Amino acid sequence: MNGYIEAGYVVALVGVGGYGAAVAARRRKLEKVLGLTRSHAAVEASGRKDRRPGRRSEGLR
Amino acid sequence: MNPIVSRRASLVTGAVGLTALVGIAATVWLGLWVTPPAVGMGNLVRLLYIHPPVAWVCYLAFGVATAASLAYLWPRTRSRSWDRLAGASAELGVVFAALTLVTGSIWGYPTWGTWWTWDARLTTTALLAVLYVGYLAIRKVPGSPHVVARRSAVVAVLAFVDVPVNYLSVYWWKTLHQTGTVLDPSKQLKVHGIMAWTLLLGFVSFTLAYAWILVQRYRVAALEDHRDSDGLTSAIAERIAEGAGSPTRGTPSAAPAPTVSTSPAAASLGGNGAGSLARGVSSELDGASSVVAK
Repeated sequence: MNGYIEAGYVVALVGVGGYGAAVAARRRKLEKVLGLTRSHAAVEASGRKDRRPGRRSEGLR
Repeated sequence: MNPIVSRRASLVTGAVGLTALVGIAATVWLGLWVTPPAVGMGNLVRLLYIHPPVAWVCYLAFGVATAASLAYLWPRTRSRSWDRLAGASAELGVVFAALTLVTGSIWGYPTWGTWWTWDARLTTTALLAVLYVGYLAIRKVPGSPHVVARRSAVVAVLAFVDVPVNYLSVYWWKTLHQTGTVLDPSKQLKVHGIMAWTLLLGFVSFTLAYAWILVQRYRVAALEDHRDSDGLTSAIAERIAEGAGSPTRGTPSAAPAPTVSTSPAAASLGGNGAGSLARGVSSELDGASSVVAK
């Protein structure tokens, strides 16, 4: 094989994987900031005050 | 928008993502180490296990963006969800169009002796990428959500005209890029079993990867809308509370605080208390934002 083939595979994998990972990370970050994770919902449902750092006190609407 | 994704939906999305990951890994393994070289093309055929699948996903993404845009433009199906889906899919399409151009160029240099030529297929692919970059830019132009969604949808539909032109360009014009080979019965191509399966696996895996990323990207768009409407609601409520709650400088404290009742809902609450007015406006905007978020 030559370097072109490997380069083509690297470009495709890094492109798709990198973009996918970036989007997934952005999603997780937004969910955390907005307090919209399932663990947050569980705390809300239990009636306990969410004392974890960075959690919104007003919770879900 | 449902603020929290159910466990079942998460499991399904996760399964799709994992399958895509395994499929792409298997495609790489089969493509690089297992499949034999092709007669004539030699080892360069290995690049064709990823280039056509990536190009197919590019078409698919723009197709989904256009279908969602049409659904938004059609009054009976109009919903912000379609707009979000169109935006998410178009962004993916641009990424895959760029990857199509780069992987094709990497294959083209050792095969044709040039990285780039103004061939009809290559040119229309580049044009496709540029058109949808323009579409994404138009989505960022300020305006009310409905206006932005409507003009974006029109642009998406117009830009899609380039997709069939791109596909048929190799038949309409004399191009360096070859016409379809594997599915063309007139060529009577004999594809080795493992080569055909690897190519098929590449198509399926990259399609699943597209589906997984699309779900993630759509969710990001929905969360951003949620955040923006949430922020707007609290900002307005705070401003009204400020105006209604604290007497202005020089105003006697016994006098009723000046309030601007802009909505029947807020007016019907009665009383000038900042809390009640803020709650009224807030609940109304909550209703509006939930309508927007649908």
